[in-house]
Amino acid sequence: MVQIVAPDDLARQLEGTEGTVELVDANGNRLGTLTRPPSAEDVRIASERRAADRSGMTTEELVNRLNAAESR
Amino acid sequence: MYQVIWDDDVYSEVASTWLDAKSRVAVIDAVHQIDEALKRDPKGAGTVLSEGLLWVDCRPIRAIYSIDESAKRVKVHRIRQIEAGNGRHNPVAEFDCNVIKRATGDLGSWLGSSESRINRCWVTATIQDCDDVYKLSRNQIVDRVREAF
Repeated sequence: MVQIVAPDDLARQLEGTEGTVELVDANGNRLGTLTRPPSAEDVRIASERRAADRSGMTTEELVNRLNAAESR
Repeated sequence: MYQVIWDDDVYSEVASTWLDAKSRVAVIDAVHQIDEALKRDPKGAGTVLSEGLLWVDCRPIRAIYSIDESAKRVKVHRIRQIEAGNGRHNPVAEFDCNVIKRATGDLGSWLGSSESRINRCWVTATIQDCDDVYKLSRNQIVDRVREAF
């Protein structure tokens, strides 16, 4: 994989993004897309929930609850 | 095969994403795709984070999960909606997922494999860079993926 060091201002801009980011040059030409990893906040929340080990639901139960909510 | 469990707190996150989504079908489809991928190969489906957590993207959502090998169980702890950056619309998220499903079925025949073994997330990822994806027919998607394969 090719590694490119982002200048500080670009790195700062990227810090505030999530999911997929499209990079373009000054003329708007597409350079490619970048997938941002989960934020530190998301990781913290996931870790806390993991440690709490609460109960959960299966995928079928989750989808059924959504469908029930829609029909209400 | 692993059992996939969604943390109770994740329900409200999925529900909120589902309520806000341009395509509710896409959210439900992503939930099913994540379920399918994690049931089959939770290690291979995601990227390792830290503290025993992994993450996987399946537009329009991202899941952060952990694996309990002894119980053969995967638990999803966090869901986030993911969109294209800078407020741009995400054509894949708006795209009719059924077209992707059918194209995946065609690719399964081409690869000599069942549809369940072809990860639809992979097909989606392969075509996500096509700005005109929402204009593509099923056959055109198959051609694009074949070219990329």
